[in-house]
Amino acid sequence: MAVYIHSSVCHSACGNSYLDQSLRFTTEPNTKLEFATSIDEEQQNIRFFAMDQVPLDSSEARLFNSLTTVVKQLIKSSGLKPEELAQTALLLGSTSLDIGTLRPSEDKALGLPKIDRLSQYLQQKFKLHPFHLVINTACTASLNAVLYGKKLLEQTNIQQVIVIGCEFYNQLTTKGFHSLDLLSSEQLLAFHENRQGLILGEGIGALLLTKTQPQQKNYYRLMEGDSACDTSSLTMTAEDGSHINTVMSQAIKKSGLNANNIDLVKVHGTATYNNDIAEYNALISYFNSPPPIMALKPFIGHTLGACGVIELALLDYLLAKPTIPVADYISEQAQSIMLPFASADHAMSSFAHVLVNHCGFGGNNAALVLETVQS
Amino acid sequence: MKMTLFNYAYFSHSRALDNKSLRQQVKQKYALGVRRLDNFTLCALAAVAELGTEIQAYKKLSLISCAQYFSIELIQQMLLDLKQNRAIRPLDFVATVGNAANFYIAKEFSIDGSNLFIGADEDALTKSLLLSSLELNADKEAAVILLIWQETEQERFCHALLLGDTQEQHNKYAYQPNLKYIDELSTMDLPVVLEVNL
Repeated sequence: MAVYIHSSVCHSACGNSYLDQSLRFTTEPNTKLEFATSIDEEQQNIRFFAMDQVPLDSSEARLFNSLTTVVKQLIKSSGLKPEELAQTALLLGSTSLDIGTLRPSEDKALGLPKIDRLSQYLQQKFKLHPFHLVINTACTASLNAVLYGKKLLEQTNIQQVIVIGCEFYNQLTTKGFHSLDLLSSEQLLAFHENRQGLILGEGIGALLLTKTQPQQKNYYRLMEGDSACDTSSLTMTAEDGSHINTVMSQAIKKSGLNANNIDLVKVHGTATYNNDIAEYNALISYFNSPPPIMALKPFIGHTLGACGVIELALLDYLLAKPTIPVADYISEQAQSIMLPFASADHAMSSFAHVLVNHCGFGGNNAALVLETVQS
Repeated sequence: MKMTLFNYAYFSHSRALDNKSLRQQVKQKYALGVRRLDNFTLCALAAVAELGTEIQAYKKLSLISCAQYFSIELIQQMLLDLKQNRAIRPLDFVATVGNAANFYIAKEFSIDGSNLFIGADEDALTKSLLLSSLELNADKEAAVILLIWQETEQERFCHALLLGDTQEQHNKYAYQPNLKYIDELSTMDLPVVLEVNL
């Protein structure tokens, strides 16, 4: 049974794909965060990719308004009727969820909201099927949500699945990544030999997965994926790329394909030393001659658990465009680029099979193969 | 969707129990690596240990875990540190990701299949059994360890279920459709064939 990306919406630093005629792919972060990471330290300037046109704060109102807006936009663009929404399950992937809105409570043993607060809110707001849950596997969260959404469609009587990836600015995440010394003070240079680390971003992505073929000219069929835990380290995957290799090769094999069938790899590409070298090693060990790669984090930052769905939504958006975004540093510093990137003058729709790769804290690595369908 | 429940175990501790005491308890009883682990993770490790050596019989194991809340003590402490402008400790921060507990469990018990941490409150048992069934359908020779945490203000429980694909020879086992309450498992004769539907 085939499963498709029927519709998508994303709201990131590039703009809102439902409202904006053309998203803006620029590598310059749109926000500078200024705070002291502890009482003993001086003020830090931390670069950040905030959602476009949404004033930055960590309030509940901002979180719920922007989340509601994107899901509403997805429902409008998909044309789902109320009786169809009642048959639509919801899976939400995120790393930090609503943590920015929480206040510590020393009085109560259970002072926190439940993990599925956001998915429950959306299920009730839009009168969706009672099956909703949150997947929280760090940076692979929303890609895992897509993988399990696909399985739900294939094996149950659920008719549609909305998959959300969301990540919102909050101090805990920013200070946490700063404490790990993973942040770049300049640019996010994915797959550059002199990369200096990641830049965080926030955003919301929403996909509607269906068993019915979409009506548009080009669309994605989800082939197979794989996801597993690399137990070598809590904070990084094996640098030799062996675990990423395993997950990628399983996804490709389960899709009935081999290395020669993959035309493009959309890398995780966080620009940390470890992530990029691990992905690089995985790609050169699996492919005799790696296909061109594509990276989206230089334009939206690392949106953590949301990156799976946000980046899939961007790929879906790009299917209708004649070119793909390629960061300037790729051509300006070509001698320092680890693997060849796809060139901008290739339409997204020209890549028949795309491998999508994601890695996360807590050891979770995930991969998915997309097939481009041209109707 | 059917699956066979081969074994069930649980571990619980008082919420008032401090981390050092729980670490000592788990280490002494189960001989597990417990360094730097929070109570949420320790409870789950102990629950899996209670399943016994039966889990080693499977060539491939996947792990699905389900909780209403994150590690409350850890998150509360981080939020307090943030409020009081204390430095965030890197490993404490990493430990707050939902699947940190899953990492330690996978490492301790050599679980190299799928590894999923989900948040669910209402119908948590049905949802997590359904996900387990989706997983088992993908690989009939594998087993799934399903963990479900439950918490009150006084106590934390972690329930561990060892689930496998239902084969023809399992027809002789008792059949339990639409299991509503996880506590019912402690009184059942196992193995039992579970059925879950949306």
